[in-house]
Amino acid sequence: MKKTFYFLTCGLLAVLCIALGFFGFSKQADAVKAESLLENSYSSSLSSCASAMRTIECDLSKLMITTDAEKQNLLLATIAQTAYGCAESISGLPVIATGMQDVLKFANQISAYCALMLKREKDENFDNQIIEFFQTSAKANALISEAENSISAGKLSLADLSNNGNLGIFSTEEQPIEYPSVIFDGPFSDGQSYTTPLSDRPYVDKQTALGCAKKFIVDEFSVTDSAGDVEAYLLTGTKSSVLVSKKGGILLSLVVNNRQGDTVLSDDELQQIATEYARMICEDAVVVWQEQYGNSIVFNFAPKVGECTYYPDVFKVKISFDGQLCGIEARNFYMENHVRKPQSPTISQNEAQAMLKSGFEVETSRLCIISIDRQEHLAWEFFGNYNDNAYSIYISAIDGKQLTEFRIISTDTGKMVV
Amino acid sequence: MKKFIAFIILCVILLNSVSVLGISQGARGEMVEKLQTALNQHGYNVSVDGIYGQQTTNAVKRFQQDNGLAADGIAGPLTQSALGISAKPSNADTDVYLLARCVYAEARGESYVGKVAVAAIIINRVASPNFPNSISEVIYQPGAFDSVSDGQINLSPDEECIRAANDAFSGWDPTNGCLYYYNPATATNKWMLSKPILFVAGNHSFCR
Repeated sequence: MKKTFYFLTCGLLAVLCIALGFFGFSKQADAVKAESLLENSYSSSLSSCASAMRTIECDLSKLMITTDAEKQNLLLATIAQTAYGCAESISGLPVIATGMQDVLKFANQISAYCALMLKREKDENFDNQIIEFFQTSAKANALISEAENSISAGKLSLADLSNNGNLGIFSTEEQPIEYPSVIFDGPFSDGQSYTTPLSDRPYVDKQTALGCAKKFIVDEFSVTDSAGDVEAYLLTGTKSSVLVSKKGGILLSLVVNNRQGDTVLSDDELQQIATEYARMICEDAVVVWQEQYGNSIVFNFAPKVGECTYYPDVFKVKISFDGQLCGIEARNFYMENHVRKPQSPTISQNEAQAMLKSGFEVETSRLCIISIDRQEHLAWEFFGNYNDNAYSIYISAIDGKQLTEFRIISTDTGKMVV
Repeated sequence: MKKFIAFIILCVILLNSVSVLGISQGARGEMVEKLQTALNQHGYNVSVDGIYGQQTTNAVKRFQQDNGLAADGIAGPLTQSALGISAKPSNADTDVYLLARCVYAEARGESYVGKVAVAAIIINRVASPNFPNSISEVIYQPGAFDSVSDGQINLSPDEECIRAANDAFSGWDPTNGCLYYYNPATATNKWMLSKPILFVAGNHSFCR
């Protein structure tokens, strides 16, 4: 009897322990899931805030260099709107715990100032105020990036911040400047998103498409139709994937599954290799930009006819450090390349240079065609510096108006354009 | 009897232990290889075989003890960070890095073309009027990616995923404009399965 009671008690205890264990496990799993959802929500808000602040910094840098009143107002309106959105994103964070009050205050301040300056004449303090805002936004970006890095490295959790500590935003330490999130690899490299190509070309068959691909890479391809954004043939190989346009048989995209070998060639050698591939797409192609990431360099090419470089037709060739072709991206070239009426500048280079912001130090310049909102413009391109920031500025070669500008940021892999 | 009770208690303890993030004994793959390489670089000799066995666990524990971390043999975010394998590349843009994290979480076992394709899907969604307007909003859109729901989005991406993200950012899109992808072996969504497949890379089929 005693033994039976003993075994029953032990059995009951064992069952209770197991049940408790399962209950605790499921509760813990629920808690972990809830924390994960909260963390994702905070991460999304922080990302949006960071993205907005980077855009604000970028637009302020352009506002510093813009002389055209209409463009200034456009930038002020954009900054006001972006700053308002930034403030909204911050409201999605545990504000007090994260110490984001100062960033919220700054976002509201800049939104209000820019909205006000849309209605008022710009006085002599305007330029200095913009420079001050720019410097503050750069500092804010650096600190927000530091917080994001800490979260990525697992040192901080946004979901834990309701209990302890803060992100240390707006600490007194100086931080290096990080670049904004919207980054273009070279001027005008993002294309204008046409849906039909500007040039009419005859249809080619699959064999021709296959021949086009094999000029660039040796692979065993199967060819199928690709019913995507562009009428194209999809060539799937064992080590690569290629898209060739049905009209004209132009190579649109090539991605290679290659691995870096041991050899490392010089930049000049790599550029020469890239140029050979580029000239298979466009005979007049010249390098207009280059950017390194990972174990390869991406060269941007554009046609140069006479003295004029055609930025709308930009395409990219990617070469690994050992000289292998890694990729080609020429959808933009396919869409925009067409026969153009030759134009001559009515404003000389010196006259255009005189229209730049006072204090802008020019390093290089050239004549080019650029595309803004699907309108092509003949322009003088000036690379130079203002207030310790590098820019490229485009002055119309017809009427001398400042058409657009980019800020150039140096990183340890090359220069990037925003 | 005592042994039986001890066994029950041990089961309860094991059932209650949760390893959320981090790699632990039993794991396999590229991330384990990366961990093992990093351990060797720090002077904790292990075979780089991609298998998180007892040797790797012991090495991780020794590293954790020597570096003031909780010596549990699990390579969580703090241990990975201390080993230098979860740190963000010094000049990586946040959007590119977030994109790379998503590619790693969704397609780390795929070919390079497959990784670029997944990254291109996200970029195409940003450009599409039917989706949110930023990388982070697209990735964190509720229900969009399983890896966000299960936390894999928080794993550190490898070099190849970062390169794939950079390529997609630079315009490379082997899918020719697709907006969706799925694994035919596991997908159950009838709407997705009804769409014509425009591109295939490894285990993923892509559609618009």
